[in-house]
Amino acid sequence: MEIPIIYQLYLSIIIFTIGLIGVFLNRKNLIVLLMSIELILLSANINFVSFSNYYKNIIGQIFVFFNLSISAAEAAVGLAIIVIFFRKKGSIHVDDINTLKG
Amino acid sequence: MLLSDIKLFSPEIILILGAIFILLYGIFFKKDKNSNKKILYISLISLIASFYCSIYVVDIETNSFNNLLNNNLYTLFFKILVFFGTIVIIYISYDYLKDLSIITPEFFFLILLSLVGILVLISSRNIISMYLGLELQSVCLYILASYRKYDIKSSEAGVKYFIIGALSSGILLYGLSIIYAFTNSTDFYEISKSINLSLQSNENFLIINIGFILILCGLFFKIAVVPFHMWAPDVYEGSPTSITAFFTTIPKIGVIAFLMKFLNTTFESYSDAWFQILYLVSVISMILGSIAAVNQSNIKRLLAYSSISHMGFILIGILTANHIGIKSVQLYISIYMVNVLGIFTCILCLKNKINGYYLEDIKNFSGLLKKNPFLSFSFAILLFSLAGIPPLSGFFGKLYILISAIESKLYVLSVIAVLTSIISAFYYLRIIKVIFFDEPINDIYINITAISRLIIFITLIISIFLIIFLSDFLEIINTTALINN
Repeated sequence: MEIPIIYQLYLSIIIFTIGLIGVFLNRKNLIVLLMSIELILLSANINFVSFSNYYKNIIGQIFVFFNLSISAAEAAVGLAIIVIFFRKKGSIHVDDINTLKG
Repeated sequence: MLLSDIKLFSPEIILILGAIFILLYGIFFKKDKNSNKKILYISLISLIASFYCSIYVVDIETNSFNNLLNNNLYTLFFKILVFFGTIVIIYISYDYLKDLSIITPEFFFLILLSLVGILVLISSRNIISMYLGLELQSVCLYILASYRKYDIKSSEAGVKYFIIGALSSGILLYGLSIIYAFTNSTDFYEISKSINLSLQSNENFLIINIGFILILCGLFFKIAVVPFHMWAPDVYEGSPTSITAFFTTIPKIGVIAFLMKFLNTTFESYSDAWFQILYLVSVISMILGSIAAVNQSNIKRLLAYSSISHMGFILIGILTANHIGIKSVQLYISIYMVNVLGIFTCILCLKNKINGYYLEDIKNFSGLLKKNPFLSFSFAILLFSLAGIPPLSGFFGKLYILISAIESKLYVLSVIAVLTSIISAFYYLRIIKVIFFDEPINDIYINITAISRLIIFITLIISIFLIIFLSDFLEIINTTALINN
């Protein structure tokens, strides 16, 4: 049984919204922020894969491979930066990112 | 087929090989005291070789890698600009980072790789190559922002830049996925064809509108214009100064070049939609950029707000979407790059004599005139030029943007642009007043090397004498413009 394409689109939109809400409402932890950003990237990947399957066009799936490696690289760099920040500040609480302000 | 692709991709290949060689050299010759000096020369050689290749080896009007990349005179213009800027930044960073004793081979590696990302972004004609280039550039920039890792400000700037940058790439990617879902293609020209087809048959547009707006949001985050600017002052203040000079110029040139090409080829039929968005964004960034900078005491924060208002100015040229607008953006952004690099080179020469810190607070610049007249006059001329005082180069950038706005009958927008540039003249003049007329607060130690003297001298020559060779420069821009009449 094939799942209608519109439901796949709904799924990706729901995941994208969860990610966005997670970024904007989260006041606790930088790692949660990182996870929300990963959710946003994955929701875009769901779109690419499902429409690639729908159109029988391979380009979308190729792009997903690139995206996965990019998001892995981004997460690695982000975690490293968070570790550096933790060493200096002793906390990864979002409210503690307050040294620089205008 | 493959061989010709490699030939067309040779500038980027040279840069990547140079970057990898630098990393290996840094590992194997760690004990060598002069290794950083040698690495500086290696990176300069690879930059110049790549510059040579992009002019003489790469054929123009060609596509490579199955239409992923497209080389023409328009991309060549921006590539040359980016190369010049990077050479200047590598030179000024070398002295600055050596002075802070945080110089490592990774710095040159990251700068070269982010340059590769920008070059790919400028010449992309497919959403895959565009996204890959943008990400390669931004991942390198996240690391560069937190490069001074024992400094709390720098690591915090890195965290902020990473979160905002990753969020904006996520939003951009979701927009791209919607465009792919709607048009079933990743090539910019094919996307434009299927959008035109659907416009003729009056299909459902809501979804493609959302995708288009998400893409624009992602790109606006990258060039820091007003609803998406919050990160810029903090990140610019926290990062090491020479890297701030990189942030304010080179990645923005890449994204602006891409944005103009993208709007004018792929979404040409959507010009009504993006005209209104860009109009709003440009007005509020000019107003906020010039008003918020008035209260700033840190020069890096001030330059961040000033870059926001300059980006608003550039958006005027983009939104007019006629041939004059695009040419004036090319003129404006090259003048902006030269002036900003000159100002940052001047800032990097000034240190506090007692504790050896680099000066960032504007009131500490007082009494510079007595210490070093050359530096203070060049500061003044470059700031006058950014403010747009007539015989200097910044004036011509603003003039041509305003001409393009008036030709498109955007009278309200031109009035706002003129008023905000008057407000921004105030804070540039305040720096000049501090340098020339205030009583000295503390002792300034001036550390000006021969190279930075040369860089300041060249930027001064360009700002003062652009009026003489303006017609030649406009001729160059005419031949490299995206749209010709």
